[in-house]
Amino acid sequence: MRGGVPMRDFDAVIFDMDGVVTQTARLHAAAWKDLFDHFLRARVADGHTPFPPFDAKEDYLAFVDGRPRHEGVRRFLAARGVQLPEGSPKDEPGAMSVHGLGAQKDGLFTSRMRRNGVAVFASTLALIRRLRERGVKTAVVTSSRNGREVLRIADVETLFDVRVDGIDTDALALEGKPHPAPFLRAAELLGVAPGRAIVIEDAISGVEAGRSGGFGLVVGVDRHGNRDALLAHGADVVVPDLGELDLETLDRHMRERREALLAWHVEQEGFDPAREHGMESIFTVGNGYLGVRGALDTPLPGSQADLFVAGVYDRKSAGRPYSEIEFIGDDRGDSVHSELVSVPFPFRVRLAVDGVPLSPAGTRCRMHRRTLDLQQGILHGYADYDTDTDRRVVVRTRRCASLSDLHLLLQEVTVTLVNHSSEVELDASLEDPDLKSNHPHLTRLDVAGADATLDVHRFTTQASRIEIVVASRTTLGGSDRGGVRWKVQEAIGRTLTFRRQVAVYTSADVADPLAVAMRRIQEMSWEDFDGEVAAHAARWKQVWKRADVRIPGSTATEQALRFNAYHLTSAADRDPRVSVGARALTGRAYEGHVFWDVELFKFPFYLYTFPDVARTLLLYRFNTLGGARRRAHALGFRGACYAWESTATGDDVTPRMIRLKSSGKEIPIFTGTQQVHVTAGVAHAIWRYWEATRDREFMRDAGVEILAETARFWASRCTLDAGLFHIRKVIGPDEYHHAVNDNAYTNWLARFNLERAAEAVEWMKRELASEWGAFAERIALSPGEPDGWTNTARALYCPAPNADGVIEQFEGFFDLEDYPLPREERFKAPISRLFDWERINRMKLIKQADVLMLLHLFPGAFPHDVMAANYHYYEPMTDHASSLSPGIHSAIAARIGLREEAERYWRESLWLDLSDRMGNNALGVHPACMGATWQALVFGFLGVHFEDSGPVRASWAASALPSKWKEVALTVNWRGRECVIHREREEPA
Amino acid sequence: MSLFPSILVPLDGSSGAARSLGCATWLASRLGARLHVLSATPRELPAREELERLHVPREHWSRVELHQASTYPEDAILDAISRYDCRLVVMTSRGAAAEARGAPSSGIAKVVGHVTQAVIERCAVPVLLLPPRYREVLPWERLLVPVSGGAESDEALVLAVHLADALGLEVHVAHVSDPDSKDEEFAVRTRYSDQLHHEYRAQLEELVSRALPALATAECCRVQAIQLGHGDIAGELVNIMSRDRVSVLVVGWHGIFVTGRAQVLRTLIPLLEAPVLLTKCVRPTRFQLKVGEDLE
Repeated sequence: MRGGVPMRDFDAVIFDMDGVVTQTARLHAAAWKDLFDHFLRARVADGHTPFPPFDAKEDYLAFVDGRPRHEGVRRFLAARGVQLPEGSPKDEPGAMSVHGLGAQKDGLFTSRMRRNGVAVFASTLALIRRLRERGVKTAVVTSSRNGREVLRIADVETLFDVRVDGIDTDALALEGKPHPAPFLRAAELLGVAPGRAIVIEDAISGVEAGRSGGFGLVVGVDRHGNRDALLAHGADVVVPDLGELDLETLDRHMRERREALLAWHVEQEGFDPAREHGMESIFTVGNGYLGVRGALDTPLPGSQADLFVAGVYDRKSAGRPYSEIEFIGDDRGDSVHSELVSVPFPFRVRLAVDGVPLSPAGTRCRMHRRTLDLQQGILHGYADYDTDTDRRVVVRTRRCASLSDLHLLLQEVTVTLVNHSSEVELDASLEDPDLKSNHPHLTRLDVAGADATLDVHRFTTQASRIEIVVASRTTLGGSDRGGVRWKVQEAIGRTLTFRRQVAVYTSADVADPLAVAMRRIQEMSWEDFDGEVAAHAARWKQVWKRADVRIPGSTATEQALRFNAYHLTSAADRDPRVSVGARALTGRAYEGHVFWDVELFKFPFYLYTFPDVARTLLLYRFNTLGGARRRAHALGFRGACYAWESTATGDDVTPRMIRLKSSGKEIPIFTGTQQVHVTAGVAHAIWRYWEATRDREFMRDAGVEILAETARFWASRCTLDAGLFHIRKVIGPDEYHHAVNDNAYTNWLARFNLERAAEAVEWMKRELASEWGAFAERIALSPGEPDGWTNTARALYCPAPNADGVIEQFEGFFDLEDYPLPREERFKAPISRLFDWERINRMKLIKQADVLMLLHLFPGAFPHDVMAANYHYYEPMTDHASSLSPGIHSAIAARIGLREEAERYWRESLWLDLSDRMGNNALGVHPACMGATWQALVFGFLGVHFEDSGPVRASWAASALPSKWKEVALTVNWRGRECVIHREREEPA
Repeated sequence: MSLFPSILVPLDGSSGAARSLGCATWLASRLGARLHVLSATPRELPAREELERLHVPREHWSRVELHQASTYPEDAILDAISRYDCRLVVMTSRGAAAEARGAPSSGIAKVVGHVTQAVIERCAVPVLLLPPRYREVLPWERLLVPVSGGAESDEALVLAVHLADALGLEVHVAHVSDPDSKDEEFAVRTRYSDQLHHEYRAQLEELVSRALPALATAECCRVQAIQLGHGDIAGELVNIMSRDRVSVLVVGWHGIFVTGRAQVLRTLIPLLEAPVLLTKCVRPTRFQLKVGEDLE
């Protein structure tokens, strides 16, 4: 009972027949034995080598149980090394073919059955009757063509609303178990969604079918001592007999299973055009190299149906349809790599039935559902249509960006004609009818000579001159011929299946992307699709071994954390030429630029989950060191200063102004020249990486050089005044205040950078003495320079806590005017913040954690009371206009024992994208916020810090856990070891 | 909760319109529903006088709530549906104005008057339409639902089963294949020609079971007969209704008299003596992203 209303978690139960309802296994086994033994003896008589006879237990279970009979014949004979021609279903019994033997077995079985009758399992019948009394629909599914006769002889026909037997599956050309088609057919006839139905099976192939069909619960019946095998192949529950089950236990199992499923799926039901762009972001599939927004398979005219390729940028120009919601930034200087390029949608299909186009956005769609399977990285679509002439059509789709082949995209579309026969049209062309407007960076190139059965598109970016090839191969089930446009007359009840494999290559990857993409696609067949999907899912399985966070009993929290880990994983390539943009490859916001949030917000997740990704991200900074040097030089300093916004080369692509869409007003942007703390952020990440991995090779080849060049920058950026160094005219993490002096965060990070650089070169000099000379010469490091960094660090002014324990955010902050911050302006700052920038610069109003960010990065450096004093001082004046802010506030609040505040900020951060709390997920998800959420959990609620021996939890962590959590468990990687962090809840004493 | 907690009967003073009262009061009594009588009149009269003018039999006076409105009849009816939360409208196909003009020989007006047409097209709740040749036969015994597998007919079947369960009636289901549609013939020929265990009935059982996923087994048992017909749809339905002594025809339909299966209804309604319960498929545009703490 929930809320006083009795509710059931399932509507139907689908039973396998043999072994579950009826006891025909012995009859079948005896018939098989008669058949095969006679056949094998006859072969010996013909001079063949003798074979072991058919084993009615072992061979029965291994080769024939639960399978269509011709499949059973084929498998058993193959196991004995015998090959027969397939023959045809019309073959007479006894014909020397697979089908002939199958027909003979059928006759042997039928005569035995008629002679001996059919026994039933009384406990199963009792369960079925109880279910039906309570209004549960029942169906029986069997591969046997004798199914109905078996049921009739057993006198149990009337116990089932629906019966699907071998005759049905043959008539509809459905594949047999372990394919889920027979069970799905039963569910369809029952009128229930598979997720609301239970499958009960005793065969391995049957539980596999139930599992892959997406049924709500799969119950295995262990009559043969194969409990472990049933569980391993997909059974949720295994019982020795159905006498152990009743409606209540099934309901409980179903509910537990459903909650587990919910935690692994993000599902949208219904259609709301106003939220479609947001859904496109959320349902993006990606593998770090490719990101494809989750647009409908038939995108709406207004969809942002984009494919992004990591590292492929082009020149920005005014008027292109790239922008933030409220403003556009049409100035990006002269860089030819200033904007992430949108490539035409690679999953586009146009479907029509009897000439009527189908679209979930139309009025004739009964049901539309999009489900992201986080566990396997697959996006599923489901749409149930009625046309104006009552033609009902069900369209199921699935798609993924392969994690095992980063250049490969996979898509499957099935079309079922439910109550009519019709002509189905599928147009799989990837041609974008409005290329110029939707993909303005691209110029189409000729693909003369391409295979006509493929759909090949070749483009070049206009300024950066990167060639991009998208080659698509679509095949209709039953034919191995590729095609682009299909017209098929199909019968009622039948399902058409289309599969598409798409290869994407660019000239940044290979010399001849056209040839490579074509070759990759041509070498794939229809059957390869399953293998590619399986390989992809296997990679995701490996991901979750490291990245999963378990919070038993908190379904929604687990779901959201997995959603975050899914996107962080999908965002990360292993290519050191690219990094993760502010919205990764899920949307157009920030034009795919790389910011400080990579190292400060996303990096810890990668570092402690996938250290190889963390290394790659740092190598991106090494590969763009040239751009950072150029920027330092342009600003009048030495060394390397990383761009506030960078892309392929590391050169700065930060806009100098933005223009409000509403008024056309231009707002100057100072971050490009003043927000230099990103440089120290890179150094901070390098040091954390070194601590966590002791990766000497990385430090030798890249890390020390970055530390040295960035230290050089700080040494030249600091100005000496009255014996102390100062850093003037900067912007800290709080972007509401520009041209400030001695921003606490910046100065602390710069000092850390200087100190670690000196330490790193000393380490290299000591540990890699033979390479030191060449290194010092290459970067022109003078002998006294590291000492200069140390001296600068010692004399660098870093604001200390005042008498109240508060650290001044920057010089003069305490003297600014108070700003009474209304509650409604928090988390969703008004647009006036932008055009009121001069007034806001004079106010005590901050955008995001600034001093608190400093405390978060160096928790050991500040006592509890200082941390608390700063939280209480700055928190009320922060409007959290950045998605980066709530997670850090949550972490600090947890550390200082403000559990309710910590939970409040945690929720803001955790569900920022799924609940669209900032109202801007239409332009992409917020991976840095996801990283901040992870940090709030690990460093806030769990209070983890690292010592040489590994991660250490804070003693207070058990009482800081959110109120609804009973326990939490996750894995972190420390110096090559997987360390499990597990904490159970304890109430404070 | 009653299936139809409130029933609206629009009357216009004509004797024809008043014929709907017998059926409506019977339904209200059996379903425990409140009966609202609406009179669209330019001049409001005392209740007693108005009830007499509307030909409401005196024995029903205590059972009805009378409302008088001075706007256009169709607007008044639609407003009353909303205002009194009526879940069913019972009305004759043609009212006083149509009677005054005499029976037209062709067009929609031959089937329904303009007020009835407007109500059917514009309201979302079911309308029990009494055809021109309506003969009152109470109590009802069985309902007939033509099914096609489409959403509207599915919803009509669900409504019919609910109503039958509430009133203790049988439901008969019919699927009439149109000889002009190669589709249906194709379906029959390809699926059922050579399979021992399948008959036409099985196809209809599938259509019915698919339409009733949310109903309890006991309710589904109200479906007592499932049959397949061929030929002219309207004629075949009239034959079945006559043969099976059907009390009410339940039709799922979009409500517009010019598209889709409208022609069948336009042919059918003048031929019927039993009422037709017209129901629309109302699909709320629901959107849900299944995330957040509500999951817990």
